[in-house]
Amino acid sequence: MNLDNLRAGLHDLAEQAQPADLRDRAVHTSDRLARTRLVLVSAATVVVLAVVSAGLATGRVDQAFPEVADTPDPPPSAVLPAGATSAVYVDQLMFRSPVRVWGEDGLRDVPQAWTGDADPGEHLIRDTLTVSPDGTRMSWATGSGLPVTWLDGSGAAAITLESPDPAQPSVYGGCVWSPDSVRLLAGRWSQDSWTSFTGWYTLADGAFTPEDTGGLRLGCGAEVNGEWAAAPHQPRPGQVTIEVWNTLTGERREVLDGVLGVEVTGVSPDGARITARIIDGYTEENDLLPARNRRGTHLIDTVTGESLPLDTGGRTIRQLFFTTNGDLVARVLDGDHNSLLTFAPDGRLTGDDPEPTELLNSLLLRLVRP
Amino acid sequence: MAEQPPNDFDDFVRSRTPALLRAAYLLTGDQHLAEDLVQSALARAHRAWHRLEQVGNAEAYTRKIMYHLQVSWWRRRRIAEVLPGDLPDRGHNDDSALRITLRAALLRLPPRQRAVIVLRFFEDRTEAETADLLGITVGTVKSQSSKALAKLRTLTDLHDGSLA
Repeated sequence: MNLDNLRAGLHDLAEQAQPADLRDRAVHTSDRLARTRLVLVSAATVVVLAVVSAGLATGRVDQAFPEVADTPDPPPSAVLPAGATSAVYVDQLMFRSPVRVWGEDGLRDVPQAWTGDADPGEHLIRDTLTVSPDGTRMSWATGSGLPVTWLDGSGAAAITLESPDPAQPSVYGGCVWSPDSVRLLAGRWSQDSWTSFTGWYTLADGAFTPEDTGGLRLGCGAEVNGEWAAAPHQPRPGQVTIEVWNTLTGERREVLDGVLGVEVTGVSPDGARITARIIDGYTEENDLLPARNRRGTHLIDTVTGESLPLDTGGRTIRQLFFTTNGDLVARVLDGDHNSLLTFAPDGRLTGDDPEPTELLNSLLLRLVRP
Repeated sequence: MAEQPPNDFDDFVRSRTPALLRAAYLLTGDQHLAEDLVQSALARAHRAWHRLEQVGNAEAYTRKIMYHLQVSWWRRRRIAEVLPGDLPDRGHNDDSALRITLRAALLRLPPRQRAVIVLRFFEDRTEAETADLLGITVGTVKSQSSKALAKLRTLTDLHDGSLA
């Protein structure tokens, strides 16, 4: 087929379309869609209340929905960001919360991601749950070891890493995977002396190699990307900073001062920027609610310490991190779903990809990019 | 109650409707259906206008919605496409006959293949852009394009050089 002729034929045919002023019709339809959605939400609320009050929670709620006069907004097609092959989520940071993998073939639950019987506690899960860069395994701390499980749904435990020092059996955290997913950095420390003992576990044989981290609690809360690493640092009680350092040259920068708490979520491969959730005060909800930590997600210049602006189109940032190639990914709230915004190292927005709506309240643990 | 659209939305509608209508005409083969399709896509854009305006991708969003609506409408049989029993006889090789033949042949393609043809050979989108707009893989774009071209070749039977 002569494609040039096809092109010419299509353009010729398209010219048959007559001009039309669709502005008023579009706005009218927009208003009608808004009203339809309002009716749907109200009807759903009434139906749910009716079902619950009648004790019929097992009935099919959707059967009672009114007929919709027009097509509701089509949900945006969920698209993995360019270069990503899958993403791993957990519904909540609690033991045995559902783990979900979003891949090119859709969304699937991993029903047997967790192994073992002991609930390690919410705080330990929150601090230590991590997924390998290749997206195949998951690890968390239990207080006595580091279970590593496969995420293929088999329920098979890969290994449980035990403390190399019987005198100090508690492995506190295993938060950092090597880029090739074959080693796991774990650490523990004494609460009295503020010293840590950190090293690399090789998953194949469980071998442990100590790592000198200069007293940093590197086993927990650290982020590593290329040569650079960043971690919360508490030189003394009551003082929280972020330590950023080059793992090859030893160059160090101390970022932030005077904050109440911080969670490092990413570091750029050149060490120039970090992402972090910072507690800088307390909310003032009202007299009835206790004050809560006021957290903000920030992109920070590691040289100046300044928080850098990020244009998300007014959408609230829920998660912020760097990929290994230097892209910055902002997971933002986008109505009934989250979207993954990808920013190139020069700041250009290169991707705005919606996630499946089912992942609205899940936490993204790992965006897998081979 | 009804929110007044911002002036920028009016400008957007005025400037982009003709191009959107041309693509929609290829997708639907009918002026009225094309207007319905563009109107519906613009309505969704209007609802999301505040965000789209800030991000600056209103046209991409509207086009994406338009192509998705076209496929979903077809699935719901909301567009009663009238397929001619037989393609018109191309006894006269004039522009009018060619248009009729091409229009009829396009309407005989499944909606996704039709969308791929329009995106690839009318809008001159790359395979990657087409995949992104339709929410499918590049491999699917390639296979759908190949099938669609083969079918067009058969349907138009244009061995006389017009499309063949």
